[in-house]
Amino acid sequence: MVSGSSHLSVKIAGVEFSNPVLVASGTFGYGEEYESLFDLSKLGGIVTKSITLEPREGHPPPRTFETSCGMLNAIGLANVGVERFIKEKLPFLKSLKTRIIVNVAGSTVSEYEEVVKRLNRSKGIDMLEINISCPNVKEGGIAFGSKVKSAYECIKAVRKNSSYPIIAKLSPNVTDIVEVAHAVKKAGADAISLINTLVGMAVDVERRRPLLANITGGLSGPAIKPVALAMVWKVAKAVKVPVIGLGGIMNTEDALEFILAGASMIQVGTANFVDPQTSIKIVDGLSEYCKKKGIRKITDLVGKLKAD
Amino acid sequence: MISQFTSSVVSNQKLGEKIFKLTLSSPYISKRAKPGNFVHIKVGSTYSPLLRRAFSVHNVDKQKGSFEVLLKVVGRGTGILSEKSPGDILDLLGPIGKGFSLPQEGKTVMLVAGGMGIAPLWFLLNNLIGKTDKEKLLFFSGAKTEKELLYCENLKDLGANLMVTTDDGSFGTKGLITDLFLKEIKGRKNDSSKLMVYSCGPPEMLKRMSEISKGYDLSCQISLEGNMACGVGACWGCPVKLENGWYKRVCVDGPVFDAREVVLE
Repeated sequence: MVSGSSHLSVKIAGVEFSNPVLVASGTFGYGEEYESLFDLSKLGGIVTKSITLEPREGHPPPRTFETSCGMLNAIGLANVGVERFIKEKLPFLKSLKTRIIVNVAGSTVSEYEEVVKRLNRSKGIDMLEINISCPNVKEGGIAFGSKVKSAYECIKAVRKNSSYPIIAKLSPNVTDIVEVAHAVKKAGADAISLINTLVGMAVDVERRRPLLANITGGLSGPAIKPVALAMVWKVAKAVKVPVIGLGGIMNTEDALEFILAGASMIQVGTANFVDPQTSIKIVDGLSEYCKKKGIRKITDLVGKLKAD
Repeated sequence: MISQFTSSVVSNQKLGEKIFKLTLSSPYISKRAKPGNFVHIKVGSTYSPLLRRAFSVHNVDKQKGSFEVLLKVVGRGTGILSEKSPGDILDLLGPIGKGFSLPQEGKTVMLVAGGMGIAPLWFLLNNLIGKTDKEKLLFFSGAKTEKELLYCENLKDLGANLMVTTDDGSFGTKGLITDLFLKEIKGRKNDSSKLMVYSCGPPEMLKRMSEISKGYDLSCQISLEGNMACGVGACWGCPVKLENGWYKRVCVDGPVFDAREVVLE
């Protein structure tokens, strides 16, 4: 359930959102973790942690490390698995007056298909986001998203099996993200979200050891915003598909940068850790910006970067 | 219930080498925090340092509506916090986590603190005083040097049986606090069921406490630290491995765990 349209409402792939602000997968758990901190119904939508077929315990610690204006993580897709997600986590999400996007991950194409099939039978889901870009697992994730052919095949298989509109979440760890975006569009993706984290690492020089047990991890936070913004701009310009921008968004101005660069919606990720209310502060900030500038609808701003 | 709020600094007192005690105004925390709970503090308004820093609630003053955190300067985040002055405003999340379970009546209670590990145990001790027989209350306090040893005088005044070690022998017995604790346990053959142990300290110390607890089947609650990002259970960035091979989150499933349940590396 989402309340009526306003100057912030956005419609992508036939799904109407009360505002363009989503919280990013992996940074907002299953929603319930933030319940006591603000009214979750104010969000445009919640993207869940990645869900796999079986429960996953994730990588050994340390799984996170703070870097300059950012952080590294190698969680390893720790999650409760699709069955427990449906039984234990979805009822709470369903009760919220906001859109629910379930993020799906797998080690093989058939695992993605199987998770999607099980989710098809559940009510209360508005969209799926397909994670073909996790940099921290050996199989699946980025293994699909970093090659044009496998990204196409994975999204095509999911599209065939999903009763929901699907968002393909792309990795920045590629030579040409536009090529991958074209491929997933051709495979039937209804929208594209980008970017997932950038592969990075940090070293403890005293112990001469990596600071993450997984050695490398995914870099997120304000440090990656310029990279994300450039990729959103390139993809939005080249591919006719709604783009959801994310990567280091910390405030309203950051969100507006992504919207002007071509993002129809945005996701707040690492900023949830810094200030859990970042996303709803951005909702209010976008509303104020529209009023101040006399903008009737936020969608009028999408891609309005004057780059000529 | 975890809440987000702002809190003003009441005082900032230097207690030892790079060690500071911040008193923060918060009727909410002073009323609700239990020993073992922590708060997640936003260090500043810039992006570096970016993430919040977690601190055990060190004590509360319900009358004044304030609470304390103990911090040691180890990096930029703690460095910035150590320079806070009365009146400065901080953004906090708290109280967070499952705290210590209080001991059953009649148990002999041992608190084993290493370095800054005294932070949550001091709050616990203040809750135990008056409820636990003084003869049955033992406090083990260890630090690297005398300069990092806190509250020895206060602990004596409180009437706790105090045992102290320093790594360099500058105060108390020279050696590790876990060795002194183990000696005490060995001297109390067959009465492990009558003991309740609480511990907090650096990782290698808690690993030893976990080994001793498993070896002697001691009921021992340890308060852990982890690299936390969210601090509210959402990101799974701060796991601790369990004996059954799975993980729990230090932030909301802990930070207090049964020392026999966890595998520390």
